[in-house]
Amino acid sequence: MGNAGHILKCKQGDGLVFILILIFFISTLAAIVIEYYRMDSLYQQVEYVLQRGVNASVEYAMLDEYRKDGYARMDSDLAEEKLYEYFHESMKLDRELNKYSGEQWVYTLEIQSLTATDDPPRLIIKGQLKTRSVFSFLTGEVRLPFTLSSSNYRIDEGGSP
Amino acid sequence: MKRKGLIICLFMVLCLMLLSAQAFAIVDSDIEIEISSPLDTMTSESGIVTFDHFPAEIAINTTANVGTITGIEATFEGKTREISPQHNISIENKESCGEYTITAQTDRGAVLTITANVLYQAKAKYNIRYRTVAMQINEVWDGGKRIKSFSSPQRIDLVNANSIAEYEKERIAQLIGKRDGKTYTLKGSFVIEVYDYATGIVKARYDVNKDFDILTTKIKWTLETFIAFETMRNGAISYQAPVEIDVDAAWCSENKQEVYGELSAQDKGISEYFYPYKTTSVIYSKDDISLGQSFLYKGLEWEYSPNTAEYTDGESQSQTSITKKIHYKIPTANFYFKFIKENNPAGDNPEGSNPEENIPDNKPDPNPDDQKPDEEEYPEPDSDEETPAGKDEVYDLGVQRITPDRYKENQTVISTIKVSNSGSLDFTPGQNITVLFEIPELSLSKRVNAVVMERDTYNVVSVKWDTPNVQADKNITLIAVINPDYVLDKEESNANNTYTQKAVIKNVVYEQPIESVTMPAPPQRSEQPRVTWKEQRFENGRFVWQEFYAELKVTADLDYDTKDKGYIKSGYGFSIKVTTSVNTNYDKQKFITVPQTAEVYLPQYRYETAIPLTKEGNCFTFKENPESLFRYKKQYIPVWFPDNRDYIVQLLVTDVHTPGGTLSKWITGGNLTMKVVDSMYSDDVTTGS
Repeated sequence: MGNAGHILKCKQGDGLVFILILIFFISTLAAIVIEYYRMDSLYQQVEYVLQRGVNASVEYAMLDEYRKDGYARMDSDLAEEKLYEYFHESMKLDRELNKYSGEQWVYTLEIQSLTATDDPPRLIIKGQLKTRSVFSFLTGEVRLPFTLSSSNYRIDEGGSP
Repeated sequence: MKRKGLIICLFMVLCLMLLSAQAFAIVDSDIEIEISSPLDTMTSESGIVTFDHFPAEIAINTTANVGTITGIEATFEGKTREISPQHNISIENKESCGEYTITAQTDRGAVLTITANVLYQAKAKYNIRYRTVAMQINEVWDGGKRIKSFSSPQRIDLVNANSIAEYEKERIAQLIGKRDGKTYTLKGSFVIEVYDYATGIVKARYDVNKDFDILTTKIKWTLETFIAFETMRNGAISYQAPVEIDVDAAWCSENKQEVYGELSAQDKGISEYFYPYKTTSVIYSKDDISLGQSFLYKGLEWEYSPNTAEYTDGESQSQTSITKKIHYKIPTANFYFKFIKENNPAGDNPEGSNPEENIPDNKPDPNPDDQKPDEEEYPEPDSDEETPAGKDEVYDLGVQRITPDRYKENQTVISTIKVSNSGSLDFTPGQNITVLFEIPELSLSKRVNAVVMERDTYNVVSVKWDTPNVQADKNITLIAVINPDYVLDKEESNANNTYTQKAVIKNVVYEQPIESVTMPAPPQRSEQPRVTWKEQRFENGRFVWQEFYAELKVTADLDYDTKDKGYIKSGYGFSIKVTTSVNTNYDKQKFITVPQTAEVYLPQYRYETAIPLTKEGNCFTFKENPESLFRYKKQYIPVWFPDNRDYIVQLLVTDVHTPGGTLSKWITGGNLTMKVVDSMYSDDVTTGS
C-alpha cells in the first residue's frame, strides 16, 4: 500500500499508468465473470430444455397397451426417435446438432451416449455442450458436460390382473 | 429293442412334421398350382415367394388332379395374359416384383385363383435383421371395385414368412363374408419384425408401407434391404368364396303335389358350401328311397333355375337314375322321381308282402345298422294292459307342431312336439304310444315312449338333443312320427301321424366390435325370464293337467382395482362374474338345460355388438381379451370416456331351453354400473434427474 500511495503521489506520470493497469485488470476480471455467468446461464437453459425433451420423449413412448394392464413399459426406439425429433423441431438444431441464432453459431450438442431401456422405462443422455466465448481474447471453445435421465414410475392404483 | 422303438418313434415324428408342412395348402382342389422361387415354394394358396438376387426365375407349374386344364392366366399390374402349364417369369428388377395372380380352370368347371407376392429379400449380413411376420389388410376388392375398407387394418399372420397361418383362414372368410363363388382380393402391406440376430430380441415391428420413412431412416440398412422394403410396401391375397349348393331330389306323385320323400345333395354327402376349385358329382336313383310295391314308377323330371343353354328342364319316362356333375356354377336343380300310387284295399295285399310296405318310408333309414334309436326316459309301457287295437273305438293320433325352428350350434337343446288324440279312446301309460323324433341330416333318432293322452286332447313331449358345430347356417328337417311302428293298427288315418318342420342350426359368429365415441343410452330389450307350460299326466287312475314353470335368475358383478373407492379410471379394465340359476317345479330336470349363452353389450360399441362370455365352473366370465398383452379376462374402458359419467354394462343370459320355450334375461345397470373418474394416465409419472 505504501508503494501504491507513493506511485499515485509521484508527479512523473507513474500514477496514471498504474490507474490504467488497474482499470484494465478490473475490466478483464469483470469480463471473465460476466462471460462465466453467460455461459452458465446458457448451460442451465440448454440443460432445462434438454431435460424437458427427454421427459417428453419418455412420456410419449410409454406404451398404453401395458399401461392399461398396470405395467410401465416404454418403446425405447420410439423414445430415441422422439428425442431427435425434439432436437430438430423444438430446439431448432441442425443435422449436426448445431444451434444458430440467425447466422451466428451459438453451441453444438455433442452426444456421447443415448441409452434407452424398455423396462424399467428410462432414457439417459450423456454428452457435452460445446460453445465459445464472445470475447475473442478469452480462450476458444468450452465444453460443458451434462448427464440427463428420465424415468417413468407407476403409482399403482389400477390395471392389475 | 428299445433303440429300435426309439428310432421308429423318431421316424414317425419326422413323418408327422413333413405331413404338417403340407397342411397349409388347399385340400381337395381339382387343380394344383405350384409357384417356386429360388428360396420358397407355395402350392395352391396365396402367399409370398422370395429371391435374393436379380435376375430371378419364378417357376409356375399347373396340373389338374381331376379333368384337364383348359386355360391358365397370369395377371400382373392389371395386365392379364395366357400362360402355359409350365411357365417361368423372369424378375429383372424391383419393378418386376409384386403381386402375380394366377387363375387356372379345368374342363370340369373348377377354377383356382391364387396370388403370389414376389418379393426381393436381401441376404442377411449384419446383426440387426428383419423377418416378415404378417400382412395388414386394408381393403377388399371385387375385381376393379373396392367393396370394403377397414378403419383399422386387419392383421393376417404369416407362417415361415410365406404362408397364411391356418388359423387365419376362417377369419379371412369372415372378413369377406360372401358365398357367391367370386374371387376377392385382399389388399394391404407387409409387417416386418426387426430383431437382434445374436440375442433374438425383437426391437420393433413396422408396417412397411405406413412406417416406411421411419423404418428406412431410423436404422442404417444396406441398399439391398432398402430395395427389399420397396418391394414389400404393397401386397395382396386372393380369396375364393364358396357357393351354396342347392340340388334336391323328390319322390312324388305325378303332379308333384304329394311328396313321399326328399333327398338333398347334402344327404348324399356333398358339402353345403362348395368352393370353386372343386368339382364332384351326385347320383340319384329312383331306388334311393324305397316306396313299396304299390307305387308304380312313371318317370324322371328335372328342373333348373335359372335355365341356361347348359341347364335346361326336361323329363324322361324311362330314365331311372341321373348323375349330375357339380361345380360352383351349377344353378338350383330339382329332380322328381314320379310315381302313381295304386289303390290297395286294406288287408288285400296281392304281392303277399307285409302291410307296412304300403306305407311310404319317406326318408333314408337313419339306423342302417338296425340300431335301436335313443330313447327318452319316459315310463316303460305296462305290457299287461290292453292295447286299443283290440277295441272298436275310433281314434286318430296326430303330430301338430314341433318347436322351435331355430337352434344355435354347439348347444344342448329341447324340441317340443305337440301331439293330439282325436276320437273316443284314452291312452294311458300302459299303452304303447310312441313318438319318434328324427333329424335325417344329423342321423339323429330318438323315441319317446308311453305318451299319455285323454280322448280329444293333446299333450306335449320333449326331446333333448345336441346341435353340432356348423361352419355356416345349416338347414335341417325335424320329423316327428306318432305311432311310428303302427303298433296301434286300427287308427282311423295315418295321414297326420308324421309332421315335418324345416329348421335351421345357426352358425354363431361374434363380430369384431367397432368403437364409437357417441354413446347412446342402453336400449330397451325384450326378455323371457319365466315360462309356464302344461302337460297331461295320468295319475291315480285319471288324467290330470299339470302346470309347470321355469324361471331364470341372474346375478352379476363387476370387479376392478378401485372398486372400494367407488370409481374406475378410464383406460383400465374390469372383469365380470355372472351367476345363474333356474328355479322350476318341473319333475324332469333333464329337460331344462343350463344357461348356455351370456353376452355383454358395452357403451363404446353403442350396445350393438355382443361380447361373449365364457363359462368357468358355475359362473360366466369374460374370455381372454386379445387386446390385452397379458390376455387378461377383462374389457377395457376407452380412455376417451368422459369423467364423472356412469359406464353402464348390459348383460344378456339366454339359451336356457325348457319344454315351455327358451328363457332369457337382460340386466342393465345396477351392479353393472361404474362411475368413471380420471384416466389411467394419472397413475404413472415421468420425472427427470
